[in-house]
Amino acid sequence: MITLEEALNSAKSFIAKMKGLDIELQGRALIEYLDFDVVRKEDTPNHFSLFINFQNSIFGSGRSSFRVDVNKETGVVEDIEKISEE
Amino acid sequence: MKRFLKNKILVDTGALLEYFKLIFGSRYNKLNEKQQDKFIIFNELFKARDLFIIPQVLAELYSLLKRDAKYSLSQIKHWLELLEDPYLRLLKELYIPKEEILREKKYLDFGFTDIALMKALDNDNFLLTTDTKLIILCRNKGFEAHHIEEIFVF
Repeated sequence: MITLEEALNSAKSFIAKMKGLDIELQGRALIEYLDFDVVRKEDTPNHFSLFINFQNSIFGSGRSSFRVDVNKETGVVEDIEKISEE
Repeated sequence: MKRFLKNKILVDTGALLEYFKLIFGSRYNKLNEKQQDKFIIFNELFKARDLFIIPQVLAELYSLLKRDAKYSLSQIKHWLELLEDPYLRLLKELYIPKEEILREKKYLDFGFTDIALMKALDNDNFLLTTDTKLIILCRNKGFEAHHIEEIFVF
């Protein structure tokens, strides 16, 4: 069983790879500059369902929101849904 | 980053050339760490804004590419093919009539391109350039203008 923090890291890492935000800028992954935020967490029997929100660009005010389901046993992201993009 | 709030960027030749050189470098894995950072920052800024040029900028850009390619037509052709899609196609164009440029007597000191750039500025855009003298001119006229080095500062 993984912790909530591990689930958050798994979701963040998944989003970073999916959006190409894992490239490093001044020694940190680009996603670290994008105000990555978890706005809501839902605890289901098998998953942590995380509602995530982050800036589209380091220069942008626009934000994207996703729901990411992380398996509680394996820590693997098993489902992802884009909720909105401003 | 909050100082770059406007959604439209008018890009000067020097800024565009700097970006395009980073594109070439990235394509052939020739960027050092600092250049790689600059390339990422340029991409982040340019994906978040609408980019505008004036026709004179494209003409100047071609001349500078020709110079950098040591007038090798095959090299220039190769570079332009790399840039055309998506980079050149994404640029939107503004046009300032010649008569409007000539009415601004500062063209005698700054030349046609700089004055056309200044004339193309309004309340919705800002200029991104490598030309400090042009930045001062634009700011004195009440417009927003930034040196490309400003975008690299966190």
